Amino acid sequence: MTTAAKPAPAGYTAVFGEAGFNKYVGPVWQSPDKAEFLFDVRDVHLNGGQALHGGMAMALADIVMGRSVRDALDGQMAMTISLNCDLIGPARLGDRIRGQATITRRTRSIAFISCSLTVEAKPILTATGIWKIVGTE
Amino acid sequence: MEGYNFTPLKPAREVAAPPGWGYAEQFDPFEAFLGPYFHRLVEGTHEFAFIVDDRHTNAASVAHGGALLTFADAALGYALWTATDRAPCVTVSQQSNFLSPANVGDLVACRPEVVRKTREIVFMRADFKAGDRIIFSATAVWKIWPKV
Repeated sequence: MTTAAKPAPAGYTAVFGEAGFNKYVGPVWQSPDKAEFLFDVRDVHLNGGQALHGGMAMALADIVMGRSVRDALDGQMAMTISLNCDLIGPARLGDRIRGQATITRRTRSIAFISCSLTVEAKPILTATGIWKIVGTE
Repeated sequence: MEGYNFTPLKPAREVAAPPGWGYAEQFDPFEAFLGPYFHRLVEGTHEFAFIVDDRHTNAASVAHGGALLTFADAALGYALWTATDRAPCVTVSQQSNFLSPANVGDLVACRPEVVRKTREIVFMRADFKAGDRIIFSATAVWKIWPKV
């Protein structure tokens, strides 16, 4: 059994969805104002206990924060160098996860960012991360 | 625990095990989706690995953080299962550092370590290498449901 991906909400676009990991596990949708991310839990994303796999939850946090860092830059690249995730509660098959990220501080070469993932306003994950900005002098 | 899967799953892709490695049994659909993962015993110590392929890459065509985070979670889970005779367990927290990129074709290997185990909480850590190059490290806190 494979649950099909739900259609995109109007105006939302897939994050880095052309190839690789994001295409394979996604889509992860981003709102037109770039502030909200959505991800639907399908059967391939589960662990052996029928809940969202912790690895996928952390991957989603990485995607939400990585895209949000890139959105705050002027075309530079950025890469995750550190990521701390607390897995607070489960998500289940069919749940729609909402992701939001806030940049705490950005220097010339480093961005500090935090993220929360929720299902119907209940938190499932909180994270903080550090991204290295590359391509700057 | 009820509803927990103890039947090994078939990985989404057939990948030949590197010389000296066998297949790690996969019980979580998401790990089978990204798998196979490999296992070997070296002088009594369990090691786990996977080969980076096109399912695991990011926009820069190196291993996506998500692929490494998931493999780390899986490897630490294997280590916990070895230490607890397959107690049902969940990840509570994972602290991850990305030290260097892993490329397509790299064998990413680790030797997870149980640092401390209490009745309900387990502290673990692992370094991940591609050849001699360290690419990723993680510490984690897991919760187990003690057997009654």
